[in-house]
Amino acid sequence: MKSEALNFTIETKNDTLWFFLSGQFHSEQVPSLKEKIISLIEDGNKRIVFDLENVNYIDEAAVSMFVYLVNLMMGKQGKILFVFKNEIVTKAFEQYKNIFSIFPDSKSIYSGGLFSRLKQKSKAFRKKTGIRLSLPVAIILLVTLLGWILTLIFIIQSQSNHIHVQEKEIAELTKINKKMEIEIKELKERLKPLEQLGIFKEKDNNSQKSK
Amino acid sequence: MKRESIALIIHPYKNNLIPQYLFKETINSFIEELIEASSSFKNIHFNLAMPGYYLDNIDSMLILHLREKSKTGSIEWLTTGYTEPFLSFFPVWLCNENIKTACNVFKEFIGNSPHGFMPAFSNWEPAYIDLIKNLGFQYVVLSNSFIEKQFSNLLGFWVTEFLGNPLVIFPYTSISLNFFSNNNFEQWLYHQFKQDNKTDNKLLCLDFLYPVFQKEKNIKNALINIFSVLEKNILSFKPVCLSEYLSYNSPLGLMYLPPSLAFKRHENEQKPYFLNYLFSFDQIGLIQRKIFDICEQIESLKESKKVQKILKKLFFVQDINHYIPSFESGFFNLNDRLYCYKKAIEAEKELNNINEVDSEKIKICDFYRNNSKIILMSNNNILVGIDYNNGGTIFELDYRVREINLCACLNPNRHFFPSIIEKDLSLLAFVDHFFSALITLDKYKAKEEKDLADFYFSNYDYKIKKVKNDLKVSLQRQGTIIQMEKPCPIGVEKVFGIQKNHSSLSFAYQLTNNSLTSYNFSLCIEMCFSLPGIINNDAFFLHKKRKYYHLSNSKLEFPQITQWALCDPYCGVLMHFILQKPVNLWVFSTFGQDSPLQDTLTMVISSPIILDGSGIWSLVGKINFRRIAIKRKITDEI
Repeated sequence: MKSEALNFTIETKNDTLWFFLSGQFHSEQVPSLKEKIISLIEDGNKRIVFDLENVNYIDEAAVSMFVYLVNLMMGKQGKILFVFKNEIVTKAFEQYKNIFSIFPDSKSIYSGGLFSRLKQKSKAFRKKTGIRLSLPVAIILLVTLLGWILTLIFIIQSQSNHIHVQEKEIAELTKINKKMEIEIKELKERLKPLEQLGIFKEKDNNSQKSK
Repeated sequence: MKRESIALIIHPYKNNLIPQYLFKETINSFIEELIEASSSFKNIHFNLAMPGYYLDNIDSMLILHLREKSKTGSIEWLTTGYTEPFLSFFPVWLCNENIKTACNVFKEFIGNSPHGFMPAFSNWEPAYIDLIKNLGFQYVVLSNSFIEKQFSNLLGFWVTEFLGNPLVIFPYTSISLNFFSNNNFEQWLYHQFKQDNKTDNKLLCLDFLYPVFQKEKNIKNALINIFSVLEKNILSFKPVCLSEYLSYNSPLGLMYLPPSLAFKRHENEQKPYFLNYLFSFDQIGLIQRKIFDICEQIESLKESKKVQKILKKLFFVQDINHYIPSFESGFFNLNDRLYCYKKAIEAEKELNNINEVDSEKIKICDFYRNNSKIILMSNNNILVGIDYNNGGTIFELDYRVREINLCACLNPNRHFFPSIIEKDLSLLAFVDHFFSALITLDKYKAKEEKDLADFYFSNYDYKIKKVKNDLKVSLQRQGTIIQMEKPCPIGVEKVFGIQKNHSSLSFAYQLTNNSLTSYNFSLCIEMCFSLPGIINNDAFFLHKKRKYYHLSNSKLEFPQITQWALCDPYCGVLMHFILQKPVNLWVFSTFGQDSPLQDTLTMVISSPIILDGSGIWSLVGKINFRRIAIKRKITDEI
């Protein structure tokens, strides 16, 4: 009797309706179970979690049923989540894993923090762009990008410091140059009477310059 | 003359449910008398078989004596497990835990593990050989009725095997206290050895059974009688411990033993299809289903420390004495059934605490792996088991606050098939009958009327409704009812509901006439309840402040009532029934005064109905469960 092979338990935890399914999930069971879940959604249950960890066989029709239920729930502003990490179910859900919210265990549904937020964000990105990144790859890319930006900022900072120092040096040298020019002018003014007396000749000065 | 060996196994067993203090007293006096009797017969070596929990109850001074005797080699220990587990009835891992715990208890108290394993009622499962060997047992002791008849008079030991895995088997002959009043023990011994003329080194393995709970305590005299006969004939017979004989002798041969059980301890008769017999009654399969359900939940939490506490409770539920029917115990006895349910409900409560389950829960699961499903609805206070394949009946109604199953009724008549629930025989609640409008209590009791509809024990479709804290199961079926000798269409919807943290079960019936002609009939909803207070005359029926006692031989009839109560101070439970519509109520003892089973009460809600064409008839009601003061304590704590 394939239609009787699946066991399930319904429990309420933190305003969430939990379905714990175990055994074999054949296509014969889909219509009756679908009907039961739809009636529960219509009762106003907005958040349903399906724990499929103990399911040891799942038919394709059952996965299609879940696609239908997720769409139905989204239309009612609700959410359907899935908990499993067993190979059989993972393989069956492979094709649709972008659509479903899948968690490895019940704890990870309730755990908050940066990672879960990142995960949720990444899901939003996935839906908009279709680009998918696994969490470790995303972290490595993020770290590399941050490294690049930091190195660039460091290089720009050190270059600007260097330019600043050089600008300062140029300004000081210009100042000294101007001072020297003034001093030379003053000395020339002092030498003029001596030149007029013929004691000091400008030629010497010119010859010294040519030398 | 050649000296033959005799291995005497002294085997105390608990034959009845008794309070812990009384058990402690009895087992201590038994050990005291055993030590006293054996101290004057120093040459008599013997074997002592007992469950591990006996040692937990024996005084430490007596344990010291036993320990010293064990060191000198005059006593060899055998065990049945921590309790006396029913090996064929429970998961292997649970039996393993049970026997392992016994070994640990023996190591703690006696200093070493028991040498031999002695399953109670010789419950033998070849698949356990590996487990028994891994736990360090050298041999197993079983009834000699398990040995093929042509070899059963040979005195010695055999080797059995399962899938190439061998184990030593000692076949025993059992004797009880009554044996000595009817037989000359000495002559009987010589006769036993004379029967075997083929074996070289003969061994007679004697299982001396002693029921712990009995009024006349003459154990000391019986022991002295045995020991003195053995000492008198010490030149002919050598009293040995089993491992001692095993180390110097070789087996008689290889003997294949199929799974089996001896239904009576004293009778040497094995029954290979014992489980088919047991499953021909109501409650035995229901208890097993519950324990398997708990075991499945525990298996994933096995390592947790909290689970150890639950396991000990389950070891006592595993005890074979609660299941094998006898005069004093067995599943025919309501106290034994309620004891098993009590321990199982306690375990369920502990598991809910560990898993932090505090809300209402519904489970659709196997009904003892026979491909049919059941619905289990529960919250912290009650559990309702609904069999939607058998007329949407309730087969289990646990009031968890008092750890009692109020529907633990048993019909002593054997089912035709080894099925847990059988039409016309099983005693359940919310069994629906459609009779003619003229049905009376006497006609109902006499089962004279013919059921007009096909809802009784038929398949229902179910739907689950969950709105906030309300959980409901709606059972629906379109069937036919005989009206004017013609089958006419009728629809029945039965709804059962529970609420979070409420000790109440709400129910509703809706009958729909799918034709244009009107119907006239009576709906009779039958409910059977088993209450321990009925036998003691503690339980009473309450209507309009009047109490009706003597329910074990009652026949009460109440026309047009909406409220009543059934109360049992013996277990501290009150069931208050409230209906929105007045109905006729019949209350009577299920088996009558002459039956030994007087603990069951049948309650029938009867309502004559005129259902017009395309009309609807409905009945809404509720059972509120309340705790009341317990007048007497339930007898057993072990």
